[in-house]
Amino acid sequence: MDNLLFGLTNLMNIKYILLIIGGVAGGISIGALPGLTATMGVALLLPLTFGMEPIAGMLLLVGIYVGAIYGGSISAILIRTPGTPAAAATVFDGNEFAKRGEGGRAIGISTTASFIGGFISTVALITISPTLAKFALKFSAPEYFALALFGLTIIASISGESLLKGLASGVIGLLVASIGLDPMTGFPRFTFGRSELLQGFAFIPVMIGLFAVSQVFANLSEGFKKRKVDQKVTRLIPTKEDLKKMLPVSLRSSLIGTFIGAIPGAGADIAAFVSYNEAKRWSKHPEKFGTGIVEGVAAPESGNNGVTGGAMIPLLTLGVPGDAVTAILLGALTLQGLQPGPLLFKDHGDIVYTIFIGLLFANIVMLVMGLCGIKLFTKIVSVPDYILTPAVFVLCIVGSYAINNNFLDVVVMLAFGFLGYMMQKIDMPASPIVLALILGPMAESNLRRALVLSEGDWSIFVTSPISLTFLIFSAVSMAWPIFRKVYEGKMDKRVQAKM
Amino acid sequence: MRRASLIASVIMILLSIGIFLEASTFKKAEAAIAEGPGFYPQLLASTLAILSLLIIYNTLRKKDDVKLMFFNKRVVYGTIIIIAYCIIFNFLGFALSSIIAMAFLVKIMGGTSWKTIIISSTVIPVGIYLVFNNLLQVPLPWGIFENFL
Repeated sequence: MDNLLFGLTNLMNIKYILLIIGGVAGGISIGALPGLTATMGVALLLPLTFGMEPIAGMLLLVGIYVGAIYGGSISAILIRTPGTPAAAATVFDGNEFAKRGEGGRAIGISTTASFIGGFISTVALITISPTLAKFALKFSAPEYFALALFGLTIIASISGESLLKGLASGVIGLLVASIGLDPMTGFPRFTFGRSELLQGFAFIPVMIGLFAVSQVFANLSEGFKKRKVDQKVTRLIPTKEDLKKMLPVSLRSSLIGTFIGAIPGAGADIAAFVSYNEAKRWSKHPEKFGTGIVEGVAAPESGNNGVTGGAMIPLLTLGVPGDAVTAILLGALTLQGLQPGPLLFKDHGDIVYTIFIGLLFANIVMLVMGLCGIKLFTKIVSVPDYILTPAVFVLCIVGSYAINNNFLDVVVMLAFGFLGYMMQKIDMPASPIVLALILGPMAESNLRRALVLSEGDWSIFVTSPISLTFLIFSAVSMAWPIFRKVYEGKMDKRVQAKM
Repeated sequence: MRRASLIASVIMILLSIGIFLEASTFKKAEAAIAEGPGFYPQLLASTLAILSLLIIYNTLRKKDDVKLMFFNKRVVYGTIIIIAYCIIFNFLGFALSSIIAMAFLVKIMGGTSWKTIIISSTVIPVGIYLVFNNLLQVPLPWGIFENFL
């Protein structure tokens, strides 16, 4: 509690407050614009924090994160195009409201639901993380290896349609991460004699390339499409009746979101879909979903914002990102010279607790802005692509150049951008690469460190109960997609037999 | 889509063979360390090759196909502009090369009026330059004009 009060007094600084407000406003705008995702927004605006102190930089990025995950719902509701993948499930019911001319009502519901999701997950973050961090202090090499492996196997179970392509993308990420000095022996791998490659590829340019430049190429390929909001948005504050309908759904979805966020690898888009499906399954009138009902907007929106706090749990306590956005936050912290993990709580408690309070504050700012400033954000939705895409391109250049004042980083960024575009075309997801870039070195160095500790005896991984648990989780998450396929195949056959 | 997936898989297989061979040249340390520096990349390369073969098998089994368009006129022009940008960046510095590249990008993305092209391609790069250079103290290069400032 003392720590929280300390965080609160720390936050009472006009500079920090303005940064959060600016971050949330920027985040909502980025989220509302189709083609700009939360991941991309955080990656693109990360360079803004290079010159800042760690707390200021993190507060700005956290504000963008919270705002962008919410902002996606605005365009999902009003123009039937999700602003971010996280808002894809909001289209089903949200747009039906807009068709009836009740776009404002839907945005009011989504704003409130997002606030509930974000707030609850932050409270979960604040209560769970200190204990988890203390627990994680006991982790040594075998546990960290098993944890990293678990994070990597999650990639398999979330890749969805293209399981193999997702796995291949993860392996490519692991290979990219292996470029540079070998963590144990210091042997230079795949550097081809170039000293710039000894440290491996810088993480941020790779991220900006995969998530932002790839979208520049995609927009070039699509061309300019006109977006227009054709209705007046009014009546934002939800009525008592709407609130009553959404509250139980929102509470459940917030917890689902927090849980999914906390699992390394799974992010807001998945949380939104799971929340939507669960709301439908628990509902007394599931057939009404998709026709524009309150629960259909509240569930995905509480679910996706629930991820924001949840994904920060493993990031801050274990140094393992919960989703792609927190992967970039991890990069940001490392750039600032801070190593996320259990020691962060011990050594930099001030930073951690200020981020906690900042996250709560960001959610309040989001609620107020969503309910009062929506007119401005609906205008932003209509900013044409022919201005947006080139502007994003210029920001990508600055972002990758400014890290080391090195043009090689820009070339790396553009190359990964092109790769990301190609991958997008053949349905190969890009986020496994990013998670692998972070988890790969963690997995390899801890694997080999553990083997040195045990003098080459592999049983060290199963004699530690924590490590064994993670390994079992990993096995389950690897087997899960296969189970699901077999199960669904059986169900299909049964349905066919009945017909 | 089928053809693209197959080509991608073949590229990944070739890549993994290359990585495997390159990694086999890595020296193994003499110490008691269980595995040398080449072990891990070789393990990954083999996994990637197996996954690629499975993708090929899966793709060949599927009949339905979506036609993919990788390069239309805009993507080709955009790529040319981006490559040109990389070349002129070292001479003209950030602000000037960004203004030029942005003007062309706005044009090929469908910005039709000259007013839009000129205003957006000057205001945005200059704005970004000012924010980074002056507000955030992140210096951006001026290329050959460095000495005049």
